[in-house]
Amino acid sequence: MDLRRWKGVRFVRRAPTRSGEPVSLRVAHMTLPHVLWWHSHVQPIIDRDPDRADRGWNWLLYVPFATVAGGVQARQPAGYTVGIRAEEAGHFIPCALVQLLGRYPALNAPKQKGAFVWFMSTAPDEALLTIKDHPLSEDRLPKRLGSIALDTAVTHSFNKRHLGRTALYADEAGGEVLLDWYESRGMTALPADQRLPRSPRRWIKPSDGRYCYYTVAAAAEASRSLDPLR
Amino acid sequence: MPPPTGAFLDIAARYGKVDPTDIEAVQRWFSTVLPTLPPATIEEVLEELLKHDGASDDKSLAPVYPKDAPLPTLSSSPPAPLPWFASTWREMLVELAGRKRSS
Repeated sequence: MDLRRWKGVRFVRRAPTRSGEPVSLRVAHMTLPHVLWWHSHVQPIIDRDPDRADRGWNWLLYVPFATVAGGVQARQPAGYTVGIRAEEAGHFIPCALVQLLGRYPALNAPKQKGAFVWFMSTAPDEALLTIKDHPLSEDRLPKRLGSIALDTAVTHSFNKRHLGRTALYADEAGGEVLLDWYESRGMTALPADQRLPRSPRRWIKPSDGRYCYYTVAAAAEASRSLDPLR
Repeated sequence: MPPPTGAFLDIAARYGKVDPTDIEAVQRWFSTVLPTLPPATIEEVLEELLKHDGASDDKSLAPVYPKDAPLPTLSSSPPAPLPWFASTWREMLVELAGRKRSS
């Protein structure tokens, strides 16, 4: 029997690398120093890539909704940074940021609540290979960062007793490739003719076939698939 | 996708009397001033942003990147807490010690 719905789930703690030796990770609450470093070192590289859906994002504007989580009860926003644990140097190297709304109507069951991934971003390889104070080699780069970032949101949903229910919008900038990727991770795309639950999004960004969600069963399966990394 | 930058600029101007053409001032207001405001104000700002959530960006300012921000440290980035039953005994003790220190 899978106890994750009752016990909660540990966050991922390692990622595979090309070298075969996993790299140690930590999932921390997002803080201003994480975002300052990201906006100084990672975002400029993302902004040069016209194919990135997160081009032009400004995490310095988004970070307050990660740090004030306890005070904002209605939506319960939360922010996480997935970072490499560089024990010897004492560095924490952010390699993915996840900002979510912890209490949002589930897309397939509007009376239930779940997590809605407001936005998330992973560091491109170039950003991790060019860190002045802590250069990483190519064979030590963490792989599966996208899956790990998404799993962070699913883990949050389990740990807040929302049974893993998690939804997001696959940004148009990511095209079919992004939508296919979310579906390959076990998410279901909300049909374009199915209305969103009551929220401002229903009118500003109505359902267009790019909203994706995890059912309770699919969330548990996706979560289990990353258990070897916890 | 995040709400459009224009929504952030308008909010900083309205709530913080910040010049909306100065992206650094807007960034500062959101990252350091807003978290110190009363929870009700933060909630109001969040709801306001959500009203624009998913809209396309109408105003964008050239990005200003902070220069040479230092790498965060492990000691200032503790692991996100877990529910009791998902934690090991050691993690529970570390979490308890942290709570005692901060109280």
